[in-house]
This record gives sequence, C-alpha cells and structure tokens, in this order.
Amino acid sequence: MEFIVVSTLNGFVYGLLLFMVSAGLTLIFGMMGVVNFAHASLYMLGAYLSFTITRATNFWVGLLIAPLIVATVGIFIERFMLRRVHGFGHSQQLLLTFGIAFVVEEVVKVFWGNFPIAYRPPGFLSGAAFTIFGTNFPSYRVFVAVVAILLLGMLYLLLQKTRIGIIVRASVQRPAMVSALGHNVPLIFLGVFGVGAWMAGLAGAVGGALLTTSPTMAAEMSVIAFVVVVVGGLGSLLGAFISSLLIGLLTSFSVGFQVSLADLANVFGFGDAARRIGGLLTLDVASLSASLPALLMLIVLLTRPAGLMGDRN
Amino acid sequence: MSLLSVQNLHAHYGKSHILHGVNFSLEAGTSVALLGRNGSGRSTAMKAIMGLVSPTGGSIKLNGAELAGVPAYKINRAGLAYVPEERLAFDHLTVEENLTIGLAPARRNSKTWTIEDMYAYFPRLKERRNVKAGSISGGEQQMLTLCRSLLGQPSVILIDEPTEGLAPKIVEHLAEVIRDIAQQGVASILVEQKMTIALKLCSRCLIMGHGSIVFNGTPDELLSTPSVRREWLEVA
Repeated sequence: MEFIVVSTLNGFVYGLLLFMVSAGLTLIFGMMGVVNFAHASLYMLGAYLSFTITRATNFWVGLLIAPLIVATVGIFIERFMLRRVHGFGHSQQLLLTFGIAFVVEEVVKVFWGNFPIAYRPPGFLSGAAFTIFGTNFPSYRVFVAVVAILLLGMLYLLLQKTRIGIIVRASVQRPAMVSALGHNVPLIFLGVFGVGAWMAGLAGAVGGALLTTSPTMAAEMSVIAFVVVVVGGLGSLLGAFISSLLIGLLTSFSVGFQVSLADLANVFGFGDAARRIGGLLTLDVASLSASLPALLMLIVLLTRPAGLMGDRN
Repeated sequence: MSLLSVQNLHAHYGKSHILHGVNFSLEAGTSVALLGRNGSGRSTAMKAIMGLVSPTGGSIKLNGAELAGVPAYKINRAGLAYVPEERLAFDHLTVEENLTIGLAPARRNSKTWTIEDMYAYFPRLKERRNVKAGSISGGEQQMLTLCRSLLGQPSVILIDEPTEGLAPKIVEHLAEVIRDIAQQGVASILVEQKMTIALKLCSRCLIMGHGSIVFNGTPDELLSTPSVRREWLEVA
C-alpha cells in the first residue's frame, strides 16, 4: 500500500513536470509542423540559468527571470533561424534544431562544466510536506506539482477562454485561412514559440532541482518528451497531458518494482533454473524503467498510429 | 476611380502558368459574377487577389493602394474578405468561436457588422452557436464562413462557389443575404459555375477562360450572345 501511494504521488509529480516540457513541444508541432529537437535544450538552459541567478539573488528571482531569458532565446531561435528555413521543409528544420541542441549543450559545458551541478531545492522547501505510511513526502515535490498545475490552469484559460487562444487553436488547423481573416500568423507563431520556450524554461527552473542538472539532462528529457508527444498524439495538448501522467506513473512504478522474469518463473518452480540462465530472465523491471516509455510508444504506434488523442496521420 | 482594380494579373502554381494577365475592375457596392468552367482559373484569381497565392506579375489596387505581394492579413485589413470554395471552417471550434475569429473592429465609411447581425441573417447559426463547426451541415458551414468573413467589415467580399452542392432552399436564402450585403454597400465578386444565380444577383458578368477574362458585360449582354456561352460556359 505504501509503495502504491508513494509511487503514485511521485509519478504524478514527474508526469506534471514532463507535461510542462512536452506542452510546448506539442503546441509548436501542432501549429507550425516544426519538430523542435532543441526544445529540451531550452529546458536545460532554464535549469542552469535559474541555478546561477538563484545563487546571485534568491530562488524566487531565479524562478521568475530564468524562464523569461529562455523565452527570449526561444523567440530569437524562431525569428532569426527557424523562420529562415521554414520554406525548405521538415528536414531542414530538423537539422537546424539538432544543431541548436548541440550548440546549447556545448555552451552549457563551457560555462558550467561537464558534470552535474549542485542545484538543490531552496532551504524553505527542503523539508517534508507530509508523512504518509511512515514515508516523508518532500515539500519540493509538492511545490513542483503546484507550479505545474498553476501553469496548466493558465494555459487552459489562455487557450480556451481568450480570443487570442481561439485564434491560436484556429491557426493550428488552418493557418492560411486565419491569415485571410486578418491575423498576422507569423507573429502568432512567434508568440506560441515564446510561450512554449518559457514553459520549458520554467520546467527546467523547477525540475533542475528535483532531478539532476547536468549537460546530459537535455538529451534525456528530449527522448522522454518526444515519447510523451507521440503517445499523446502529435499536436494534441490533452493527449500530451494524459500521456505525461501515464509515463510519469509508469516510470515511477517500474523504478520501485524489483521483479524479474525469474521471480515469475519461481511461481511455477523454475526460479533457480531461470536464475542459472540469467540474462533477460534475471533483469528486473526497475532496471528497465528507462526503456519502458519507449516500449509504450512502440505499442501505441502499432495500435493507434495517430497517438491517444491524435486525429491526423 | 474604381474600388478594386486588377490589372494584368499573373500567377503560377509551381511551373504551371495559371493566370495569364487578368484585367477587370469593380465599383463600390456592386456585385460581379465570375463565371467559367472548372480549371479556367477563377479560384486561383480569387486566391491571388487575397494574397493566398503569390501573384507573379501585375497589379491589384484597392482604393488606389497596391496589394500585389502584400501578406494576406494586411489585404484583409485593407478591406478585402474571402470565402473559400472549400469553406474551411475551423472544425474544432464552436460556431460562435469561428465568428469571433473573423470579427474586426469597425472601419470608417462602411457598415459595421456584429455577430448579432449574422444571427439575424441566419437564425440557424444562433441555434447552433455552441456546436463544433466540424459537425454542422455543409449549408450551415457555408452560412458560417460567409458570416465569418463579413465580420471583418470588408468593402469587397470574394465568395467562391457559395451554392455548390447545397439544397435549393438554402441557395435561395444565401442569395437573399448576398443581395442584402450588396445593398448595405459591400461590393462582391461571386465565383459561380451556374449562370442562374449570377444573373439574378449581379450587375456584371465576367467569364474566365484559360486564365484570362474572355467576356465582360451585363447579364443581358451575356444572355444575348449565345456564342460566348457555348464557347466558354457550356459543357459539351
């Protein structure tokens, strides 16, 4: 029971963090058809910048300023790089964003070093929020969940209840028609890219202290975020939300699941034989936790190629 | 000076030359029919005027201001509106949200349309205001996209095949509204394949063939020249 409750809570927090990153990714893909491989680099930049700003000032200033700097970087990338290759198709955008991801990684190594940095939750958030079945649940995880839920609520209101949100949703489906109705679609794209980058930066600012802040964090997050977006259905925000939570829970449960095929064989009395063979049979679920999301993606792609909430091919 | 004047307009799709120098003009508050067979370039002409297909030559002037090569959203803000043949409603948005997207602030020297005006024209849309545009009928989508464009407070509205595939009763209703729009001072270009509606609604008829205007006259002139109809309109 303890395992289930704690894993659910942890999975929920991790899933919400994943959503903060993948929301921007799926929104940008849905609107502009841009597969942005540099999106997770913006997440990493958010973590490093807020670490440095927090040291110079305090945690709140870092949380506020770092995502804004990341949004500015995102706007710069869209306006002066992506827009220039827009007419040349997907492969150019892919190559460009791949290149940007490499450059950001190297820049991070140059400024902060090729090793994990000590980005920790601030003192007032480092205690336990509550105790459940004898396990202390860290305040910082609650804080991350609150930030993510606030962001989710804000995004929902912005997209569903405001005119600009309605125009953004219309541009996802028919950009040319929106333009013919008098709206500056490139400017709307720029704004969406900026907001997506800001969310990634914010996710980095809070997530860096929750997970590990290191030069490889972008590559790791990039893989998971793409899995989230593909499983949820490219371009679907609701799909990204559902699949973020799904993958968060899947990862969290599998990490604590020390069961292997040999243990299963044990039930039938072949446990020792299986352990002697070793290999796959003694591999426990926990050590597979990093590959399980990819497996989920494979299954979804085979059964529902458009993703859970996707409606196009 | 004409409200809209199109001179020697050329357009290409890739390497194929679609418009070979289109010339015509439109006076304020008048309705013009653009007739012709499928593939004659009528829709491309509308898209080129609206900036959705880049013109490769020629000039498009609205109130004397050059619009060729200007982005579509600026052309819309200058006073041109476009209702595409494929309608292109925003399927995932409600009827009212679709209308909201078209809504532009009032302009000087022209009537200001409101969403309530649109509901008065088409009470059906009011009934379905909270329904997703993707699940309303083709006729309702035609009403919706006409209204959506009209809310941009245009001085000229380009309507591509508004009656295609619709029931006669809906066609009649749409024709009434289009006539009323003209009476309120909005000039219109009506792309049609069938002559009947065009002759009823429009004061001039243009016929397009092979990417240029091959006939420009009043409905009576068109009716009295069967050779033109035979050569450019009728399907043998």
